[in-house]
Amino acid sequence: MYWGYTSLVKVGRFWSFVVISLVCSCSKSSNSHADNETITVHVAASLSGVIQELGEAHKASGGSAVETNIAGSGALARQIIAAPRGELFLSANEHWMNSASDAGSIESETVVSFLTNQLVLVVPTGSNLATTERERLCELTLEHLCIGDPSHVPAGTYAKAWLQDMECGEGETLWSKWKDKVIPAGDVRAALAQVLAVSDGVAVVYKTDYLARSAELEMIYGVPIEDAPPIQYFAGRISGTEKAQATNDFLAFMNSPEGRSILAKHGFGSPSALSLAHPE
Amino acid sequence: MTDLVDTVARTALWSSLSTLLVLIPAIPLAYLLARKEFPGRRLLSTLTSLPMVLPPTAVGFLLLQILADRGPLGRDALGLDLDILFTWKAVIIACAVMSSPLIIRTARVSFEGVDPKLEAMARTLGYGALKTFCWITLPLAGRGLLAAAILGFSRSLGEFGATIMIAGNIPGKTQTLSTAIFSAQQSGRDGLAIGLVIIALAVGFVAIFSTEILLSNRLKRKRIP
Repeated sequence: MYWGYTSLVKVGRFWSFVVISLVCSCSKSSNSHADNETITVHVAASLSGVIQELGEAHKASGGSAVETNIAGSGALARQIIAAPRGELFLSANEHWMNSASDAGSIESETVVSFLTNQLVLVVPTGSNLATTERERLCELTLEHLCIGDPSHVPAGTYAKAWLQDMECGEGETLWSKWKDKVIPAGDVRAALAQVLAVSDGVAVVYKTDYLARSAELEMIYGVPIEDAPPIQYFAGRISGTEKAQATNDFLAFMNSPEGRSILAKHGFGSPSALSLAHPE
Repeated sequence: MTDLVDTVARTALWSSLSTLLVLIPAIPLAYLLARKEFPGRRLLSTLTSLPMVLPPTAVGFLLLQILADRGPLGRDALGLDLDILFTWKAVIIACAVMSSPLIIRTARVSFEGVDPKLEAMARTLGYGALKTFCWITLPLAGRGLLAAAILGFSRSLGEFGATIMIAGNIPGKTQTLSTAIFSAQQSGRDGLAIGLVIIALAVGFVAIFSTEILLSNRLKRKRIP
């Protein structure tokens, strides 16, 4: 009958242990918090692979350590608007950078376009769909078109815009030919997971996402940059940061030959009119 | 590897703390809802269950607006910086809010399962209301309360939407098991993601399985005349 009571006593002991260990861990974490040599960067999810490498290389070259907060650009923008903390915001999308900047949470004069991305058509390795060229895209027969949901996933929006621009004659576009085959995904990585799960499927994704999983995928077509809407990433310094110099140093590092080569390795390009060369 | 262990340990610690934070008000509240008739009882019951049906991102967004610098509980309104957003405190708040309906509802059901006659008997034997609650009701509802705590703990372990909104996803600082899975998957480190998923599965399985044992034993015991 009183089994419950003895176990409650045990649970009580467990909680006291929990509280004590928490107190210890907090005193530890507040020490690391005081570190001036760390900058916090809010990073769009699609940059999560490359930012780690950039941060490590930056630190190795004598710069400050880079701490990351990784989420979708929209969630990050809302956080920065609610409470501008940290040093830098790297957004996958101009809209969210503008929202944060309009709210006064980003120093608008520091906002720059610092990266470009490219759309590619990919299929699972071993698929019977072969590499193709621009003129023959309309002849491609596919069962499934895996893209990010065009209603809210930026990669899907870009993909749809490009498909609508590709004319196949007789008033038809690639979009009108393929729109019944679309499987909208919650994000680009989900679109890739879907194309790997179905046969005769094609995914339209960023080149960078393809490169991250190139062992399982084959690229059948790379969309030329000039054919699609410009896909750009924006960087902006958070208002009121006390580590403005360290932040500028990191921005300059991303733009240095070493930083650019890391970015290029992951498939990111540099904007043609680069305005980042001399951060103040 | 140490990072992985760190993340798991931190998540378990935060989930435990959030469960404790909820249990303190949830036990008297659940008892009230189970036993007392008072004006606004249904309203209170509905309000405490809301986080269960709202999308976690909506709860996160709401909390973010409340805790924002210019929000009602923010730096400007209070005149002091509680330093909650983007810290471990935000993780605990997110987990507490999201797991509270599970804890309150389970605790309430376990109080409802206690025979009021036993409490009345204790009162006739000279126990006061508080003494009756502590020595008769609480022990009898013990298993159910433990199940409530475990359920709340497991819900906190898996919390994602509200956490990433108000605490962010900062490795070594506010990253939890769930947000670590998100990051690993986003950065294409599928091996790590799968490892983390297996850990989450194992912990979740053990937690839910133990509540099953706790609750099914109670059923068996009841069948004995």
